[in-house]
Amino acid sequence: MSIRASERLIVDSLTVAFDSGRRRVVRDVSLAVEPGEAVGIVGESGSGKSLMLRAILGLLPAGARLTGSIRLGDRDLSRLGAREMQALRGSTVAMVFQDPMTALNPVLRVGDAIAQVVSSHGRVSHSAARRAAIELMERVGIRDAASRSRAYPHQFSGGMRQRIVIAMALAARPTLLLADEPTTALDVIVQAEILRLLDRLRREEGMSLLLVSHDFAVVSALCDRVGVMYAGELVEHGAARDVLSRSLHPYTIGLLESLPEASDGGRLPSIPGSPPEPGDLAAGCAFSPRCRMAIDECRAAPIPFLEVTPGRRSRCIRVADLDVLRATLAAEAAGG
Amino acid sequence: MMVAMPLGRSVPARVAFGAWRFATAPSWTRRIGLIGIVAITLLAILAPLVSPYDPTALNTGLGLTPPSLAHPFGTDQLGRDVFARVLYGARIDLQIGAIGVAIPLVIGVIVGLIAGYYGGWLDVLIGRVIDIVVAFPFFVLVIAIVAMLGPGLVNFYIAVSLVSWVAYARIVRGETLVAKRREYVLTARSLGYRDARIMFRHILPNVVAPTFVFGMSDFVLDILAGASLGFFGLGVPTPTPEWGVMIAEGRNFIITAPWVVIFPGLAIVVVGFFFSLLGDSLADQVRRVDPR
Repeated sequence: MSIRASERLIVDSLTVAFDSGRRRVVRDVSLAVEPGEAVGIVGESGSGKSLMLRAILGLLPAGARLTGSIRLGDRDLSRLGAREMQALRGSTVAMVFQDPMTALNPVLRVGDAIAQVVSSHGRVSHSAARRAAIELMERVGIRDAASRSRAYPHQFSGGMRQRIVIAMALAARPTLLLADEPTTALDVIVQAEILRLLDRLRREEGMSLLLVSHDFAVVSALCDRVGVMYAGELVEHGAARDVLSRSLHPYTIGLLESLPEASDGGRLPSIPGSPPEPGDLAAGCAFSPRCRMAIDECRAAPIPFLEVTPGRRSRCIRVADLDVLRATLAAEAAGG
Repeated sequence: MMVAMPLGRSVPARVAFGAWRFATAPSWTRRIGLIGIVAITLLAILAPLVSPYDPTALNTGLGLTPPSLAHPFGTDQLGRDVFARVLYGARIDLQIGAIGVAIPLVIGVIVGLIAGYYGGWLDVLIGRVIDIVVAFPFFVLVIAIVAMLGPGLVNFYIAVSLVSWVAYARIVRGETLVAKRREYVLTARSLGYRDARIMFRHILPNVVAPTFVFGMSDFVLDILAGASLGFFGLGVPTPTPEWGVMIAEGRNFIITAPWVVIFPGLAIVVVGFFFSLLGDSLADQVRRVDPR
């Protein structure tokens, strides 16, 4: 397959609010995905990352209000009419959802489900769409695709279903793929297979990928750049390698510290407290109530998203003092 | 798994809706219901082969003879063979049931899908219309409409269609409200499908099964309504055999010649019995099938 030029996605000051602006669930998020690039967003559940993806697709739940802009190439998706947006979905932007157990229609044969995507986005004959569906099933690694295409979703395992979901997302050849926790519902071994598949297909198709996950390992396996999201806003952003090895925000440090891989068998460290409710945010830094480094200045006013080094941004005014936090955490871990 | 499959057969729930699997499912109520309905339908179609008599042929010399070998159900006041009339009546009454279910089902499913899927003011409007129709008893409204339009089968179908679509619309609206929140609908939308495609190709197959269950009991209700209208003189024109009309005409002789009313009455009961059995087993299937 030929590699097509994909377009740059620029999300600028995106805010998604409910209850006529009282609950801001995505707050002032700006990010860019270059053509063919893979970008990951890490955050806890409830941090607004899934909603951000749905905003890009134009599929926000009823009652959500969007401000800011989402540009793909020279189009502003946030101002596109319902019809134009609909034409774009699937063919230019497609999405892979979290739970393959529920993302497939139980009464549709999987081959028909994939063929439907093909035929709804171009004038193709029924048999050509069927052939394309079987080809896609082979590409996502389903053996015996011709006969399996006549099976129903419940006759597949979770991993196989996620492959079918991916095949559906790719069927109309999108240039931007959004993935919302694509492996969270799967076990670890299947997870690795699906991630490899996504990575391979992205390269083959020359797609851009915007991946959202709570799992640093998943994001760093696939993505060149990573953003960390907390309480609806980006708190840190940079190359995946850098963010992992030298985080520039107390939240990221706490998050990485609480991974089982990071600990040496003792009690897992955790971040005290819990994320704030969208309608009940601290005046200054949203993380300040849980942050060990917080000083009065942190609580006074919103913290800007400052560029620390080229390509590295952090929403922490104490970036220079983070070594202290790292040392404390290391000492605590050693002390048991 | 929450549900143990009977007889250890792993019938995949949704797939079991295929016609063959459906007919061979291990359920006695369904077998008896299906066999009964098929038998009655065959008797209706093959009526000329089953009974040698013409259901409308008058034979005044033989009025009100009791059941005998020659006339197993006896004859009515005009000497017509009651057995032949019951057989030919099945044609009309089964047609009343089938059409009286099919038209409202299609209307109700479409309206219910639209109301449930779009919601908002459209849903409110449709909901009000449904409330208004439901506020009147079924029979009263059907009789009122037929009385306005005049007797006859076509007007009866119009009346039933105007009244009983609301039940199907309600069922489908409720199911659609649940189904449209399912993730596969979000998937469908994320793939850029038009609303019509999402409604009719993705949601419809998931919500339509309960309407078939209701349709089975509605079938019986429609036959009863048709018979009642016939009884009131608002049904099928007289020479045509129809069970309700037969009962209405025979009621004057209920003491002296009870067979004239008993047999068409029994026919209604038997048809109702078989359809109820089938509907019951269908309801079981829908309940077992649903992952909810």
